[in-house]
Amino acid sequence: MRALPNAAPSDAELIARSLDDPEQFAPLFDRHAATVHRYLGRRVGELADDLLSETFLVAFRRRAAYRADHVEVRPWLFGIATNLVHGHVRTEQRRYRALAREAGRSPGHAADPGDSADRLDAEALRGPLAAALATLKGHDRDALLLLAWAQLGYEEIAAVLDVPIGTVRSRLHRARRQTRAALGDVSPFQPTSEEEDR
Amino acid sequence: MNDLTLLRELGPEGPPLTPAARSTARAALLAEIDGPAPRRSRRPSRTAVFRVGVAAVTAAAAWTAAVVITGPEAVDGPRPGPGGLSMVATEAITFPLSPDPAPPGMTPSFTGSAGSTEAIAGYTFPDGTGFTVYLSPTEPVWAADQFQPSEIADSGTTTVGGAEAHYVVGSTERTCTLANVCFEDLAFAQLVWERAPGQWVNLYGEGRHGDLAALAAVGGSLVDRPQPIRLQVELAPAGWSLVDWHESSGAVTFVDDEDPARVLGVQCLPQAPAGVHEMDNGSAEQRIAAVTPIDPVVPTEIGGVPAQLVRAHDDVDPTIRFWMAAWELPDGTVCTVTTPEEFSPDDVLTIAGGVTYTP
Repeated sequence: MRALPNAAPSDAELIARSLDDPEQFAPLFDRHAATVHRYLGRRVGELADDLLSETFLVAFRRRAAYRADHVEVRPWLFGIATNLVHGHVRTEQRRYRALAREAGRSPGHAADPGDSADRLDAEALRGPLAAALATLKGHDRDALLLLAWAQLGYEEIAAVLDVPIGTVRSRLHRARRQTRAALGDVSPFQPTSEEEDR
Repeated sequence: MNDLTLLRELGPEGPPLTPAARSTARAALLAEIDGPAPRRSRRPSRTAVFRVGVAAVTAAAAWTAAVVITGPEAVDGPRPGPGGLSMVATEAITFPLSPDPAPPGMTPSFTGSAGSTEAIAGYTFPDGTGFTVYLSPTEPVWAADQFQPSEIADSGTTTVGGAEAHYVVGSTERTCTLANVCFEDLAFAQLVWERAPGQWVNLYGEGRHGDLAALAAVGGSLVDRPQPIRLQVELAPAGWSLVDWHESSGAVTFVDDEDPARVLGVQCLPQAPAGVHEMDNGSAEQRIAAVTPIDPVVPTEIGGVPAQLVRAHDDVDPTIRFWMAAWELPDGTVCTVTTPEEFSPDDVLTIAGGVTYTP
């Protein structure tokens, strides 16, 4: 593998330098590949390997359009990854449904006397949770999963989805309400404010 | 616990990023960085589509595949298209070897990039198992190190087509293929040999091809007969070159010779096998609906079937504008053509009209 520079410039600096020296872009992969892959993997499963590669290829090709004053590099990469997931939205939905079915068929951990009641309760939520994700509208799911899995803030989500922050709020409100409703009686949710989650 | 915590802790998990997949993606990026010649390999195999298994995934890491090129030195001279761009006929994209006889019941899938002698062909049964042929001009020294020691049952040398070959056999626990078929204990085998001077083969098989004798038989059946890949793009703008093809994701990519950032993408994804919902690729309408339109969607026809055409912009960067045409073949395969905004609608439709896909 190509050796990486000894210095540790910021992500934005690397992108800026890569405009003249493209190899400066490579350390961004080393910094963020695992995080982006995990996000993709939770959404599209095995396709994450392909989409991870695509994410960084797209990012490299579009690096001239990156605006450091608009959003940091990590959220920018999540935005690209999210956009790539759009091309596989049916795969994503079907995956959630399959996981929900699988969880429904699984005997779970009830046979393990070492499991706590809380853990058993939590395990029972995996299926309904996956099913709930499958029912969300695409834009709502994007916002929710960028918040929950990519751990972006509202402003970052707005930036990478290129929508007003109010739209992000409404999408998140809708997605979270629908998720709670889908879980119904098994929901362990305690009321929290949106601000607490940012 | 709130819903976000619940999603983080109990939401679906994905597969781990294996060193092989990481290397694959990193190599692809470095290949892109090493540009700008459009006839370079730009990214390696679509790993997940070929095989779900450490060996195949890892193998792909070092194989920025490729086959025969096509592109501006087209078989016909340029001719003006109805939209203004001059269109040229392209050469067929091929993989240089064929198994003889063709393995029954298996679907081939090819990956390659223009100007490289590396190439990948995957042959898959409906259950997602099968074998993969990796070609390279030099010995894939990395191949022997791609397995977990605990998975290996035996290794050594044998003979394939009269040549000495190194083999590894073993089994992988709890493996699920992309066809959503899971195995508690899936046998695998790998053969590596120099088939001809400067042509190394890394042959990897799973399931019934995880048997060494069966895999060696496949290796011995390989003949020097180029076979066309299933997705062909018969017309492309003059001055544009083919870059790569990934049939596992149904994609063939061309770029503008003068500005490789300008990309012409063609994609045809077959209908998912019955019951394999995870591979459902949606409809032409859904593909169009997944982009952000600038103008209203225009109904049209491509190859005599209903199609849709739209001018759209990128979700992340609205300054990136493009055309997308989408249509569905009679067997349910959904095809799209994506071009820069500067193409005319007629240009897009002319290119789309030259797309062929053999199921």
